[in-house]
Amino acid sequence: VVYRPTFRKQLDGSACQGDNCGCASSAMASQRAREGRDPGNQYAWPPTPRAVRARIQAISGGGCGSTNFSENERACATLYNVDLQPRYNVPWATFRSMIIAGRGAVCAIQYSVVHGTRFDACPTFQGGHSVYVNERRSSGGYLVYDPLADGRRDYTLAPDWWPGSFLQKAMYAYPGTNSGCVHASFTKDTE
Amino acid sequence: MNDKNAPKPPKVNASKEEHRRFAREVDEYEPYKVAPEGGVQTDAVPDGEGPEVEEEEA
Repeated sequence: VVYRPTFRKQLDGSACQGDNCGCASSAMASQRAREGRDPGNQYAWPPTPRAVRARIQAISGGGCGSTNFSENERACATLYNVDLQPRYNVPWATFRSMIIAGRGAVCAIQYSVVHGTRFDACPTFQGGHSVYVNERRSSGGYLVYDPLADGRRDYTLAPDWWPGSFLQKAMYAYPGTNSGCVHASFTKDTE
Repeated sequence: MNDKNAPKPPKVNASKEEHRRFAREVDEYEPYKVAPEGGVQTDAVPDGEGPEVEEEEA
């Protein structure tokens, strides 16, 4: 059985909540990577988006604003002793195989693709977004933790099974991605 | 982009061990480690979607 982390919403009342999709997704990936085990260092456990954001601010300075894979990787390495591995322009079949192999992944998607579907948790948002993918089931669906899908206003509540073709479409649409490829930051194999 | 040197994934219904072996090849494949110019940046959700921002502790 694949370990499933606690869902972490980004809209949590923290100062950077609107920008914290990457921090929330990386927090969930970190909990998966450690299978829920506290590393026992001086930082709080379990992982939260606001803790990841605070660490990025401590490393890089500045306030809110978007984050990237590398910033989240460094923050989570310090806070949770995990090794998230960003990989760019990876073919879809490679991404799929990595998930089947036992990795979780923070994934870059374009949220406009989600509009008009039951997975839409923020109809006012069009832009680049991060979600956490925990596993794939044999029928082809992926268990997706969308940090915006917190159940507010009767929107959907994460995690939810997204059809593979739909996740693929959302990842392909991320601006600047090579044709047929996706961007993702993988956990270690925990299975 | 069709990279002829990239590791080739097993079929979707291959054994878990084959997928794991492939994943270890991907771990070491340097071109996948190169971020696109500007990195992979996400965008901000419009104001008003979340709860009111809490006062930060001093």
